[in-house]
Amino acid sequence: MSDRPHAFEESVSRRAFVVQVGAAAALLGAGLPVRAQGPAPVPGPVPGKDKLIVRSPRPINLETPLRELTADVTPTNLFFVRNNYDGPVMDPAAYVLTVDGEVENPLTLRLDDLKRLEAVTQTITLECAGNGRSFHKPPASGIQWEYGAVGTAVWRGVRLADVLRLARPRSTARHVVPDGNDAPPTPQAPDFIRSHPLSKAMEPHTMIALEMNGQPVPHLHGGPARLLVPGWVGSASIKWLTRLTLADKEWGGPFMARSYRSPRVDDPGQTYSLQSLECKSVVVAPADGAQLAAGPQTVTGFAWAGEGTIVAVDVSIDGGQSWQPASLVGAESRYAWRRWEFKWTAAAGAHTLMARASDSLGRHQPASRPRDPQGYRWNVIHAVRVNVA
Amino acid sequence: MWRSPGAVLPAALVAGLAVGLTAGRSGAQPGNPLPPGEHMPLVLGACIPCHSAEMVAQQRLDRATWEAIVDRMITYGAPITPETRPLILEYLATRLGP
Repeated sequence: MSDRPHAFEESVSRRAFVVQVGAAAALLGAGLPVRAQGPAPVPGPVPGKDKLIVRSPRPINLETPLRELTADVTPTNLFFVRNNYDGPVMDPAAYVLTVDGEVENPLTLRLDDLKRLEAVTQTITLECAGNGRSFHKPPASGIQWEYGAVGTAVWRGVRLADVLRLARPRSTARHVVPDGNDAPPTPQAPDFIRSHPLSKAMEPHTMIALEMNGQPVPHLHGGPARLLVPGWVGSASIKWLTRLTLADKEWGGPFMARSYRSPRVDDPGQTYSLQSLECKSVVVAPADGAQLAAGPQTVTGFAWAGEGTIVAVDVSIDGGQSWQPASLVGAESRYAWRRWEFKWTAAAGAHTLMARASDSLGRHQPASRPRDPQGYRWNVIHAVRVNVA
Repeated sequence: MWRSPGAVLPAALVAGLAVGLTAGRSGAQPGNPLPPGEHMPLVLGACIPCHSAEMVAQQRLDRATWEAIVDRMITYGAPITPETRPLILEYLATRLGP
């Protein structure tokens, strides 16, 4: 535990405790009147993340309401949080990263050692593999995300390749097995570990992030140091990174062998381990249910494609009967989402607006998704209904 | 890494205490997102030592899926006995079904 956590981390740490005890304390209120049938109570907001939807207070899982995802770079206070397990706040001064396994030169690095390596700054979109799970039919188990388990931040840190080169991987090294300082609640529960091939680790975009949006990576986002495996499902980007073990094979634990797997397209009886994110876009504005004035209107949102790059976003203003190209705004940035925009002269009446992305790998957003028992890969074309008066 | 047993204990104690005091109170309660039901206090006692009740309450799963999850949680150390397992499953499958 940290002796001197900075203010934000301290408030989060305290909050986690308050939430934990608070849930039980609420149950202890035996003298309180029993509530009649009604909507389930909503947990209170997490300090520093007030606008986010609390999907679970323990472990902390917070979703960004889609209407708040308006900025090209998501402010940290709006950035979603997905934790399989929570972890203790770490003291940056005591931070140690161990690199071992199939290497000639096993080593330990402190934060200052990492900061002596060449710094890189990259804008990278992170999305939880289960984003959109709540839309799957039949329902899938897991956090019931809607659209907002996605965000884009400016990350500053060092290339993972530079760290691994210091350790001199042996020719037998094929996979990187990263572990974080998160804590399963029982000794029997499996450690949260997700490995990735050495080829992805050595790619120049794969990094250990020390800063997020110009500040030290906050505890909730994996600080003081987290992995970023860009373009891949968020779970690859291990938080609170403390160990990198090089191995001759993929990690075989439950978070590789059981979770983060989807049915194969060519053989739905078999599953594969998720890597790249899907080709996907969302309409951020107007919001679903918006009342608009007749006349010029702009439809806008973001599109991303994991290992692909967005080549087109098409928009429909008539519920998918006809499609017209949207403009891709700004410059393409590898592994960052791309803003798109569509100018529209709105006529009175009800309209269903839709956006459909296409990427460099030949993928298009589908109109439906086959059953995915664990609720991953939701990238069905997003539709919003608006009324124009 | 995992927490030392000492770190697990307070949460488990608090949860156990809560369940003890709420035993038999199976109606909807403030601060508890689980729908009312006969075995709801048992479900709380089994689940909240390790995670929030919200993790459970947001699921809508069929009995077979609940059974797989409950059995996995037993291997992770959830305080579920051969006696409470069918009661917990009955609640989950009927109150948090599809």
